[in-house]
Amino acid sequence: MKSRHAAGLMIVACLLYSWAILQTASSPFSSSPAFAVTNFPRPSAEEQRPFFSEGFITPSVHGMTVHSGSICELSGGILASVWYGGSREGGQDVCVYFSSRSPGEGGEWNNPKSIVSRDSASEELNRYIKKVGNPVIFSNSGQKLWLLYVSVSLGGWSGSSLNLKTSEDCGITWSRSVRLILNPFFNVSELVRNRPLPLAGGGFAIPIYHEFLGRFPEVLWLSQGSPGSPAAYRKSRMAGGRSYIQPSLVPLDAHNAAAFYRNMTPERSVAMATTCNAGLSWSQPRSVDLPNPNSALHAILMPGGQILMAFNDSRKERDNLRLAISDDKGEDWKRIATLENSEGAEFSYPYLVRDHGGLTHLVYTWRRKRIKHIVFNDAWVQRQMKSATP
Amino acid sequence: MRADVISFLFTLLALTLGLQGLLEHIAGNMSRVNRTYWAFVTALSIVLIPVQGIPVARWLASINASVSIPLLTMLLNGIWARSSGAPLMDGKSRRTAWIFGLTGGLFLYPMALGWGSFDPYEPGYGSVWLLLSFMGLTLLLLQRKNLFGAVLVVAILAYDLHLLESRNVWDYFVDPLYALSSFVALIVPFSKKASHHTTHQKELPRQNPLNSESGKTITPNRDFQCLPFVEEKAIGWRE
Repeated sequence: MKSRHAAGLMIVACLLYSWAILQTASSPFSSSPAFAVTNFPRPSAEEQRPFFSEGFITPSVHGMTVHSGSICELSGGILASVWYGGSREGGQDVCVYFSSRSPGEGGEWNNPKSIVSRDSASEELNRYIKKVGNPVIFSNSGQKLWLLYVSVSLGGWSGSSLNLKTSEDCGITWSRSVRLILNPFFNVSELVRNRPLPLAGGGFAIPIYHEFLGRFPEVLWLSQGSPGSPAAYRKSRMAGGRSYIQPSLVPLDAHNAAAFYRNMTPERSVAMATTCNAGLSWSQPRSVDLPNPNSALHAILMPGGQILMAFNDSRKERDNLRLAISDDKGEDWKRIATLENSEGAEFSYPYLVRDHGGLTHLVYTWRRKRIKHIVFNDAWVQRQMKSATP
Repeated sequence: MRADVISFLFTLLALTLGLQGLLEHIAGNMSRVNRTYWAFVTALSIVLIPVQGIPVARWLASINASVSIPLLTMLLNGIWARSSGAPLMDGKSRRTAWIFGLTGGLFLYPMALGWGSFDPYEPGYGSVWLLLSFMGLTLLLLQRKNLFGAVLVVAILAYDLHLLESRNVWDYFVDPLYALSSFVALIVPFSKKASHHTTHQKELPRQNPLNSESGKTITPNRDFQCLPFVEEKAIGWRE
C-alpha cells in the first residue's frame, strides 16, 4: 500500500468512525433510563367489595396443548392475550394465537386466531423456522401492540431467537416479523417470558434470558421507533452463570426495581436481585423464602408498594399455583391464596397485569389444555391478606 | 431493501465463495480461468438448490445471523489469489486478519455465552469506547500500511450503512466462522511446522532444508496453506 493511499484511507476511516460515534451519541439509549411509574386511578380497597372471577381464554380443544399465556390492556379497556398451542410443545404445528376481550365483567374472549405459524415466520424472516414458542404481548400507548416471540431454526429451545411484530389496529393486522440479533454466536438462545416494563422516555425494558451454555437473565431495551422505521434495541446482562432465568421485573419507582428469578439450581427457591439505576446494573441474586420447582413465576407491584407474586409453591412439582404478597419489597412473603392444587396436574407460567380500572388479571397454563384467566380487585387481596399465613 | 434480505445476500456470497474455493481445490488440473469459472457457477448452483423448498444458502442464514466483513474479504482474497495467481492481501495483512479473528473470537464468545458477569457483546450496540478502540486499531494498521486496516474501513462502512441484519458493531468485525477459520489458519500451520521440524531433525540431522540450490535462504509461505480458499498452489514458496 502506498503512503498516499494509506493517508487517504485514514481520512476516510476517521470520517466513518466519527459518523458511527455521532449515531451512537444520538441513539435513544444514550440517556439514562427511568421506569414509567403508572398511577392508575382506583377506588380504595375499603370502598370496594371483594371481586374475584375466573374463566378460560381458550376453548377446550381435544388433543391440543397450550402454554405460555401473556396478557395486556389496550385502549378502551380491551384486553389482548397471546399464547402458543399445537399438538405438543415444540411441534411443527404449533402456532402463536391471539384473542381479545371487550371491557366489562361479562365480556367474552373472541375466538382465537393464529397470528404466527412456523410457515409464516419462515416466510417473513426469510429463513428456515423449525418451531415457534413463548410469545409476550405488550402495549404502552394502548394503541400500538407489540408481540415478541421465540422461534427455533436448529436444535431445542436453547437454539431460540427472538422476533418482533407490531399491530396498529388492536391485533387485527400485524407487521412482518423482524429478527432481533442479540447474541454474537449464531444468535442462539435468547428467549422471553415475562412482562415488559414501559420506560419514561418511551420504549420498554423487557426481561429476557439465555439458556445455551450459560443460563442467565438479561434485559432487552427496546425503543418505540418512529412510524415506519424499525425499532432500535440493545441488551444488558443481569447476572452471569448457569442458575437463573425468566426474570420478572417489578418497578418500585423510576429508578428502583426488584427482579425475581426462576431458579435452576438444586436449591429450588425463588431468587431475587435489585437495581437502583433503572436496570442498568443488578445486585447479585440471592434466595428468598419461597420455593421454586424450576418453574416460571410472575410478580407485580400493588397499590401501597406491596409486591404480589404468582408461583408454584413446591420445590418439585407444578401441581399448585399460589399467590403471595410482600410488604417489604420482596424480603418476606405471606401466602394469601391457593388458586390451584391438584396432584399430578400442571398449573404453570403465571402472568400478571393491572388494568386502568384497578383490576388485577392473571393468566396461566391450566393442565396444559387451556389458558385460564383470573380477575380480582384490591379488596379481594386485602381480604385474603387478613386471613393469610406466613 | 430489507435488512434480512441484504444480510441473506451476504450469506449467499460468503457460502458461494467458500464452496468455490473448495471446488477449485478439487479441480486442480484445469486451466486457471476455466477452473474459476467452473467452480463459481457450480458453487452458485449448489447454494441455490432448494432443500425442502428452501435454498441451501438460506439454511445457512437460518443458523448464522451474519457473515462478518473480514471473513468475506478473506474469502474474496483467496478466490482472487487462485484465479489471478497473486493475492490481494500480502502475507502480513493476512496474518493480521487471522490474528484479529482469533483474538476477537476468544475475547467475545466465551463471555457472551455466559462466562462471567461481563458481556462484551453489549458495548457493540453503541459504545463510544468500543468504536474508538476499533478506530485506533484501524488507524494504526493503516499507518503501518497493513491492508487489513482497509478491511476494517470497509467493515465500519458496512456498519454505518446497516448492511447486515445486526445492529451490533461486533457482528461486522467478527463472526464464529471467521474466528474458527482464524484458529485453523494460525494453529494448524504452526503444529505442522513443529511436527515437520522434529521429523526432519531426526531423519536429516546434517542437512539444512532451508537452503535453496541458488544459495539463497527461502522460507515457506506461512500463510495458512491448510485452508482451501487460501492460495496454496498459486503462491507456493516465496522468497
